[in-house]
Amino acid sequence: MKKLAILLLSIIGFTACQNDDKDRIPAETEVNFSFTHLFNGEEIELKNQTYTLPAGESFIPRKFKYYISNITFENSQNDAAYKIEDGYFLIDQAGKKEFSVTLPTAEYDKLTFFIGIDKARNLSTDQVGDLDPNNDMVWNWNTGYKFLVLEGVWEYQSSDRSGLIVHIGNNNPENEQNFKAISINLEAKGKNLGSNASINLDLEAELSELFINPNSIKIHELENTSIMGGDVAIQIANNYKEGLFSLK
Amino acid sequence: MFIALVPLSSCLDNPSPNERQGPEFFTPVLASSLQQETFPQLERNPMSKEGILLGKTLFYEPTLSQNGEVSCATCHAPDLAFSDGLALSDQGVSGKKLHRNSPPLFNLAWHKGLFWDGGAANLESLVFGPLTHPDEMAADLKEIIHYLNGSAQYTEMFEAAFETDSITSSLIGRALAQFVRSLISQDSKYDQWKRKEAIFDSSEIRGYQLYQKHCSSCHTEGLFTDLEYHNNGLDISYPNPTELEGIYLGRYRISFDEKDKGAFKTPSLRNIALTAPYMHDGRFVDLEEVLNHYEHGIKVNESLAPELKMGIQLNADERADLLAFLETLTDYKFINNKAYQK
Repeated sequence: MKKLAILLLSIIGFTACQNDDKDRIPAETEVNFSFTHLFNGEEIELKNQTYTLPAGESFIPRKFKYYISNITFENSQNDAAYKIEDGYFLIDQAGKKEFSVTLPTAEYDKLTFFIGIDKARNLSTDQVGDLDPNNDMVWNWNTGYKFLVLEGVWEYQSSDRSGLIVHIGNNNPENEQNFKAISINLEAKGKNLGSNASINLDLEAELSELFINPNSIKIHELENTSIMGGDVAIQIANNYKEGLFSLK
Repeated sequence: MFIALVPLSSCLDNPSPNERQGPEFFTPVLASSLQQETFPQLERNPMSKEGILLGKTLFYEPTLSQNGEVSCATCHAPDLAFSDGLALSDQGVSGKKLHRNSPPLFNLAWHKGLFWDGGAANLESLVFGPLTHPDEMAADLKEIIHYLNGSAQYTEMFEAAFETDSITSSLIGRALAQFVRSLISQDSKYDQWKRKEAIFDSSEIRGYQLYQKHCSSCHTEGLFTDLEYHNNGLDISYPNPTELEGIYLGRYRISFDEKDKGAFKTPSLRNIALTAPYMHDGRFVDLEEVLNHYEHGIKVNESLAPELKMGIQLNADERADLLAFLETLTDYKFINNKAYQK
């Protein structure tokens, strides 16, 4: 009986509180994502700007694009979560670098998103929107998407210039290797969801991180400057999981 | 539910006899000699008369290619059971030689993986490979959409097939997949013999028995392929230049399974007399060379199909009989079927 009373009281209190805030708390929250791509702290250009890779090689980027998917907002206190269904977003340094999602308003202090495409959607490419195969992100010999593409001109110790090609997808269609979750603490940056009709999440990607942490990638020590699968791709995927993204 | 819907929809739609009723879906009739219970299709892309017609039109459409000269049929010609007669084609936009033999197209609905290594998961996804590969059609999918949208004929055909005025890459893939899935070869002399509509001579019967004994474990009767991947002893080792992304490794580059090194999909023996040269790289010019390989050319390594360790020994008479049987697998009705032609 006592418990019931407490329960009733708390419900009354809760609803009362909600009533008070009714005008202020919107039913839905719009989250605006934007992505900025940096090289050694400097926003990248795809023209003729030369950057230095962590191993001292010079690199002129020409193409940088990747998929963001399976975005989930979480409440670390009560384990509530909301996943954005059918959300596959191609981010392209030469094109679209922002998108918005809308979700029912609730308190969330954590964001998780994935680089790449989940197995369910990676087994066919007759898809539309950002998954349209006309985005130059599908393999032509193995059904599935490239999760992350970095291409450019690479040079080391005045050797001949060659093309650095990084194409990372699923090495093995039977698992979700290289499909990596990235977790962002919203609270730490004062970006909790729950009280505003819209919120801007500005994410930065520091490209040098692709070559450092936890795996040190020295292109000049590799057999080839094309990385399109295999162990090096797996190492780079672990690097994009770890340190590539941060919330501004 | 139905009772409620029927009067409602009849009120709303009020169909006139001239009004289009949507695509006409159907399932092809299968001959018993194909030995298949069902005709597999993707739920998202059921075959319709309108879809197949659109797919066929796209299949023979050179405008899709970058230089306007190459169509799917350039390397998949109906009179060769939709193959091209070349070891490695150089007929693509760039004129550069490809690395794999152009496979014939028939009975693909039953294939679990497409391409010689099964890398493509379904026909709907496969078509973007040859369409966009720089050494094949080198198409820009965005330009194709632009071209198709500007064509009254194509916009009507897409509307008829998919009931939409929005042409997408996805629908191009689905229409082409419907046409290719509709290519069914099941009317060879062998099929007629199985159905007791034709008679085999004694050599063909002996050849059939030799086939059963020596070939049928991989070239399973019915489709005449087990749809699996085997190393049939062509090479001892497999070079792996990075730029070719594991092309010589065979199925291994898809499965990462050691036993798939140098393994390729068992090609069907149906229409085999039309589809020379043979093997994934077209290295054997005729069936004599193929049988020579199985007799004394097998290279033994760890991934070799165990059935082939001892090779296949046939005397001259047996060889002639087997070849006589293989000839019975040529399906003239299939290659002359106007429904499949331009």
